[in-house]
Amino acid sequence: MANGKSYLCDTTKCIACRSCQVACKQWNELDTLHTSNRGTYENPHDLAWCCWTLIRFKETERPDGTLAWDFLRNSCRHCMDAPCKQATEHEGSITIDAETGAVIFNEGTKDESYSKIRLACPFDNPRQGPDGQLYKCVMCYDRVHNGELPACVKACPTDALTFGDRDVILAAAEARLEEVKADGFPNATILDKRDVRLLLLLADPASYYVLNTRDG
Amino acid sequence: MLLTRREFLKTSAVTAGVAITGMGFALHPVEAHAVELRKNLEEATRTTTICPYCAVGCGFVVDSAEDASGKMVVINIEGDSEHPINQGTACSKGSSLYQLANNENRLTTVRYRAAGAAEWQELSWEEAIPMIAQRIKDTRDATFKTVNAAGRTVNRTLGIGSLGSAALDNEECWLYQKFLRALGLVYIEHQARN
Repeated sequence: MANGKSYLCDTTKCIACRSCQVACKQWNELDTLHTSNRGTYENPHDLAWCCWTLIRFKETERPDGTLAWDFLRNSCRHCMDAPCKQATEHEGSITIDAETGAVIFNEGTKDESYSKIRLACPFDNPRQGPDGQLYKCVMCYDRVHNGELPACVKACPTDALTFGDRDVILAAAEARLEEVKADGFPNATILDKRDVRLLLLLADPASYYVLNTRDG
Repeated sequence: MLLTRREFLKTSAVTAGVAITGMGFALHPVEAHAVELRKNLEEATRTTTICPYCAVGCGFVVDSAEDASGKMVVINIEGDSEHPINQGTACSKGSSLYQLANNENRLTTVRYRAAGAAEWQELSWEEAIPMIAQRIKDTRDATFKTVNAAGRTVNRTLGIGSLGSAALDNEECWLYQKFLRALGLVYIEHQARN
């Protein structure tokens, strides 16, 4: 496997401040949406062509009757073998950045079938903009190429998000996983760690989190 | 060798690139091209500042550049990696500082609603400042007390209060507090207490 870059999103450290969401909008100059209060801090209600990073909130009752509130980042996982790219019909519409491994949607995605690309994504990330182009997180690959961290990672005040060479991040993720397990969370996992560049470390079983963005 | 985080990332990025192409085991079709920052920070004017919102006092870097009409505008604001408090990080409000400078909803003129009037009108600063100064002087002259009921020297006015300034920085707060205390105000509050 190519090395490239990876993120570790350690949800045990995430406080859902959503600084990552705002930093993403700031750097990428993304438009805003009119939203309404749905009785949750989760906002906007879904990813959008102008919202590439979204913190999902889910409150569940644990078997012992206590309530717990879990946060999970949703954004492009930058798959090692991107299904969205496999679903393209036009050369170059979706490319893999050589240095980082970032999955990049180019202008050519205007000519692709939106529904086909979106359905190909296991994490339901692609969204179509008013200009017809498809959009999602680009790993701030322009920043990474110039020696800067992705905007979300730089902004994260609790170090829940870290970023670096894939081998280093994978090793750090495994070490942290052992720590979390030893700390009273034997069911802790890292989701899809072999297949994606955004490693999500969960303390509790995956059913306690909003894993996919498809509503419902 | 001691590297800054920026230098470290640059070094590791180059190493990773060599590992992929040099050893020829990249499994995916890849596209190599020079990537420039989407915002031209290299040629921007960098200014450090302190976040105006809460009392933590995080450091930020403001990048500004000339727009098409030659006016200096803010193009990027993000955490200052070299600031000891936040070390480059920010909360969600801090991350939104860019909007403080670039915002079509921002008021740029004085808005005045006369007593009893239903409509706002726009005033120039030249009209507004003397009007405010005159009212402060009239009220202060009418309400200033040098001693209280017990005969103690107080030199204060209870006729004027100040509400606001939560978004000022440290130096502005110092000036503002000096100004209000010099007038003899004691009712001094800011809008962020909740």
